[in-house]
Amino acid sequence: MKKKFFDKSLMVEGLSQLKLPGFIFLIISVLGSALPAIFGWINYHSACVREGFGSLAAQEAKIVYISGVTPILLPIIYLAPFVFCLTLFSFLNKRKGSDFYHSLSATRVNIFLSFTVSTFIWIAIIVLSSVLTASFIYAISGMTFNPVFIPYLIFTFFAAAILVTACMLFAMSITGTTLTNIIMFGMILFLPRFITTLSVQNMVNSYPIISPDAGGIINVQNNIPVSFIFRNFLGYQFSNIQLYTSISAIIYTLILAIIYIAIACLLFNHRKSELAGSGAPSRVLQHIFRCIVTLPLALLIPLLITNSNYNNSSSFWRSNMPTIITIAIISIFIYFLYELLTTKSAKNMIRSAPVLIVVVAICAVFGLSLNYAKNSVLNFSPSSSEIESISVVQYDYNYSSRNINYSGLLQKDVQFNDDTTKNSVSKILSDNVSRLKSGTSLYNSGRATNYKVGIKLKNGKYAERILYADDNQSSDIQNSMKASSKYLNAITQLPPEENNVNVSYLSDQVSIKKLWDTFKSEYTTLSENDKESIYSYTYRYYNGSDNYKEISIASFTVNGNIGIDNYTQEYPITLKMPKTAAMYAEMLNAKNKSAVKALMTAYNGKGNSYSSVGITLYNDTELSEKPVPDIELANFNMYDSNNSHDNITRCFNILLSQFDDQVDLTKPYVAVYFNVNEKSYSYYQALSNDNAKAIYDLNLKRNM
Amino acid sequence: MIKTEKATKKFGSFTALNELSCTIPDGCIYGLVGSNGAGKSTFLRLVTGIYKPESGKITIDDKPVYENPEVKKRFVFVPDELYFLPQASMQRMARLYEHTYASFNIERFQNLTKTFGLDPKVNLNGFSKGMKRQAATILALSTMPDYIFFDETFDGLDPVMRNLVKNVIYSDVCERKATAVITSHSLRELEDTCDQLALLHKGGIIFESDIENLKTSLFKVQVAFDKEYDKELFKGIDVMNFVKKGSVANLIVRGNREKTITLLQQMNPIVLDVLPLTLEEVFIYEMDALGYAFKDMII
Repeated sequence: MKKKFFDKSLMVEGLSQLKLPGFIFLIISVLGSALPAIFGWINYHSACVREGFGSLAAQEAKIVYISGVTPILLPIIYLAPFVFCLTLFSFLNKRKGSDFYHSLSATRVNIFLSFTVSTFIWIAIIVLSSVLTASFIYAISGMTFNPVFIPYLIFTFFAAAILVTACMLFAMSITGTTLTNIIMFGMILFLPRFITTLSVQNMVNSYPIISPDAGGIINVQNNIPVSFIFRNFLGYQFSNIQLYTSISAIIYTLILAIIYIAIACLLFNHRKSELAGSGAPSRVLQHIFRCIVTLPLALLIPLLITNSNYNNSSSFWRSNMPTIITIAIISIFIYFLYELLTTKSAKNMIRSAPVLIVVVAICAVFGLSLNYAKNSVLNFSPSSSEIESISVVQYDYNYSSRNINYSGLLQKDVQFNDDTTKNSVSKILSDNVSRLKSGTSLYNSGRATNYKVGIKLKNGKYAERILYADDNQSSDIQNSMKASSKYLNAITQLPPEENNVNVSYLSDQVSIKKLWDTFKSEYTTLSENDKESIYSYTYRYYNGSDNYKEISIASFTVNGNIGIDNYTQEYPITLKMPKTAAMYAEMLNAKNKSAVKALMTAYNGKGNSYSSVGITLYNDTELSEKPVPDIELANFNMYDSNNSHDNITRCFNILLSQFDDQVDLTKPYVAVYFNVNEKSYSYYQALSNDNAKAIYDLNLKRNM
Repeated sequence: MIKTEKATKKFGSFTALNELSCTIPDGCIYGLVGSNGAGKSTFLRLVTGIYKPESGKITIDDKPVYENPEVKKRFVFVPDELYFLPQASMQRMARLYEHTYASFNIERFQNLTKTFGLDPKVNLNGFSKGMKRQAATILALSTMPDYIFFDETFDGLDPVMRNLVKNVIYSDVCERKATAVITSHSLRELEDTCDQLALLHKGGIIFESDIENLKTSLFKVQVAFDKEYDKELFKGIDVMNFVKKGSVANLIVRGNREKTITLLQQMNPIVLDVLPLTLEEVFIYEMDALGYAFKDMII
């Protein structure tokens, strides 16, 4: 008779056994999803009543962010699978339970898979109910809720919970007590990523030419349940959008879960019923588990040693030896404590001492491997003739490439195989490597521009590096790249229309669309250089002092995705687009005119009641036809402080005298900023030459 | 038919069963007796496919048991340490059995529950030890098995319930031609229940026999003569044990009772009494003959 791998009756039995914890988690998750949605609506409604339906506060309260849809699921994707597995598979920890289930006519694989499916069904019910409940409430409440969130949230949370389940099943298949279940579960879920993440961090800290998202598939962002937690503790700079909308992470997480479940099934099949109640199936595995538990702390020693480029010096050892010794002592303590807790035998604890050498050996191998990897990085400095092609993306160091901009995504596909670009990249890399070899930092070295390059060698080898280029080097590489029409298109092409567009201080989507359309039409008239300067966001022109010409008035932020890659790109509204700039000023003024006038009138030295007040006078900008000659600065700022209440009051009086004049950005103008009771107001005001001079004189007086 | 051929089971360095071979025919009540740690529970767990033997074969009707659903669906196992779902009642356990045994008969469950006077809706945690064993027995028998395995079946049962359980087992064996295998550390418990008995000691079966045969093939004869005599007088009789005190001798005789009495009468004894042996006494003398000191086994 053919053996069945799945039994519906057993699955129904599993569902029944999980009824109690299942319903508890279901109620918590549904309530925990409904209540924030309801409170969100109440908050929005209150803002409307308080500030008005079109107010900034109301607009901001109306937006539903993806991380705010079902926050309750974040703890539940860990707790629910954990509790479900401990409940349904608890027979693995008790001899009588284990014997009972193994005496049934179902095969071991059948029992395992049937019960696993029961767990998955409950998880699916919880995730679906939570997401759909919150989505439904947001949808009927009239708040700005993007229905695209729904499938992303469902698959992200489901994939995460499935992986947590898989790790727990893996752990329960190889251990036989609740304590060892939990310890092994933690090790299986977190330890591999812990090691790879710390290794990558270690490498990147030592050699910042390594990309923070190096490692491709082993990058922590791909493992959803781990990345949710590591984000909080390791300060990773990836956004909620990245966490919740990554198709590659969903796929990777599900595949890893399937692999772990397959391993767990295999182990369950071979598991002896008499293992129930024992920490490990054999003495050998007990040694292995003990070593694994010790490793997370013990590995910090080689990480600490290899983290520094000065570990040959006696001062390094003098200052770090206490830390190293402390970590070693605690690791040894954990090693023996694990044995004592799991076998409850002091004799076993003592007999386990010789195996400690394995932990030492693993740490040594790990440290040597890290060192080798680091040396490999320093040894990678190919000449131009060795390079087949290069991809180059201008890089913002503070963000991983997962937060790349639109142009960056297009640039990734552009391959440069001309000698000039290859030569530039080779030289910069060589320069960076030399500095690192000599122990000199790349930071604050005048190398202010970063490029993320993918270097493909003629021998097939491929590596990614972050290059630190000074102005000359940057200029060289930029010039060579611009010779490629594909590259030029990548840096000047605007994203498609349907993407999400925001602009500073405006929330009305109709106005934003009108502004964006005007921006696009003016953008097409710009020269390639001007378009390129928008992409590289060179919005400040420094003339060597604090006196700089303002060339942008605000910026658009565009979010979207190309396939599975998300992007965020800023497009400054430069003053080379006078229509867009003027329209923006007009829209902002229309929104805030009466509020700003009232605030300026009421100010009268009462600066302390406002969170912040500021005035910026723009005398000479990109659009200026005729700056006021007596004003020696292109622009300057005046902020409210204890010493400047009177000056600000006088400024406001000057401004109020001309308040109703239409602002003209080609002439000197003022931007006034207020932040009062958590609300922000901006206003652009016209200024006569005399008034501009008067304000300038007040500023001079303030600075004396 | 259940057959084990040189089955060995080890737990680490400890050998629980050592090349154990036995055959249990269908339709009988087979008793397995042995001291604590002899291997009785291990044997049952091997036969029910819970444990995998290190070596040897275990088959039911020539089909291997381990991981074989086709065979395993035909039997049920009631262990010494009972398993119930947490906070479950008999009714809940019946649902579990329904899901896991295709042949589970709910009517039989209800009838047996009534017969034993148990409330199926009450939490099993509230049952006494004996009541839990009754509940486990009811659930097992409701699966209508061809083979029933009981480990320390009567542990905790009062005499009335013990009889009730025995009668239920009898009826299954007689009416449905089931086979029951019962282990116990007490010969007295198995004496009036089983057809066949085997003695397990230190991982091996050292004695196996039909009970009827055991009870009738050995008997005690008390005899006295008015002349001097010794064991030589009884040459034609298979005397296993001869103890003489004064002129009275106690003989443990193996053989046909009537023939032996006739032979002894021909010797004109002044006293001739035939006394039955308890099963324990039979075992003692059989073990003695095999070279084992039975009393050292402390059964």
